[in-house]
Amino acid sequence: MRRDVTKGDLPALILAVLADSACHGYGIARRIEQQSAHALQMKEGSLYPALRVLEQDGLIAGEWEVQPSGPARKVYRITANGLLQLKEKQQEWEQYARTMSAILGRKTDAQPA
Amino acid sequence: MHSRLEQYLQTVEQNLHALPAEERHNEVNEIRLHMESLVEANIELGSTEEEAITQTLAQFGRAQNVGKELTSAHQWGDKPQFGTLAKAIAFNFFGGNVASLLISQPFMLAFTPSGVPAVFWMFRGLLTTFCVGWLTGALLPRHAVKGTLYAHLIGASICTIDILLGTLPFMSRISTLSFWSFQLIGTIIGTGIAMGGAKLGARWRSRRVQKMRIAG
Repeated sequence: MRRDVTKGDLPALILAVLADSACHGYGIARRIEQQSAHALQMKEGSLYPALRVLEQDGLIAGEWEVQPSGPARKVYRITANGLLQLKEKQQEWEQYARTMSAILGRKTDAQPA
Repeated sequence: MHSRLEQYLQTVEQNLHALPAEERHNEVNEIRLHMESLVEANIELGSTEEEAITQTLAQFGRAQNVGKELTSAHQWGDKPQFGTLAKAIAFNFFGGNVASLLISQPFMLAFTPSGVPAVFWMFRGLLTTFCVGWLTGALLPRHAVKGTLYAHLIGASICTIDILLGTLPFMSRISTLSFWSFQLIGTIIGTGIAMGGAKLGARWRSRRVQKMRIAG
């Protein structure tokens, strides 16, 4: 199964990745890819507008940091407000998944007409 | 760097023209580093350099969209906030008038010697306009520039209606053509200065918030 990440889901995925550890833009894209076992794909250019909105809302903080090898990169960290927002998103998602499976799960028992 | 990637970044940068030069540079630099890493990764997976660049460009999406969405994220956030926009318009509109009438006029009349050149009075008006624009930017950064523009357009429209209805007493003393020319030029200059003030105020606020986040 391969699915495109929608713009609405991207902020929550970014927060989830950053909750594990701080990361730069390229790293965030790779971690989403790896953690979804390559099932989720996105236009990587859409990552930066989403990062900017999260930054402005105070959910993440980005800072240019010198790397051990190579040039300085902007590294993002989740803030306390970001963690709260992530928790809310997780609860919303669990509720949505329960609702969907309550409807879709029953359909497998149905008999054809 | 490869010319196709350079061209892509140039298109992104062109679509970021509304942002200050420093922010534009940072955005392009960040995307450049991401693209370079992606090209390297694609080469490691067995692609030739040309193939790796083609894959990278496809993975990133259209440069115009990236630039426009980034500008939009910087300036207005992802959701329109009409309440904040209304506040920015009201603050600019009423703030400008209150500052001009209550603070600027009596203060300047009391402390300015008579016989000062006309250009001084014009400068005073523009300074007030700039300060109100700057305050709007500092207090309501997201919609300050747009709010300032709308407030000035509303002000110019009210003034125009007022003039057309003939309620301004000095109309008879000056020629219509010179009056309208003065009105138009004054509106353009005043709006430009106020919007510049709003942009600077918003930038000041953004830097302050950034510093506080780093410190906290």
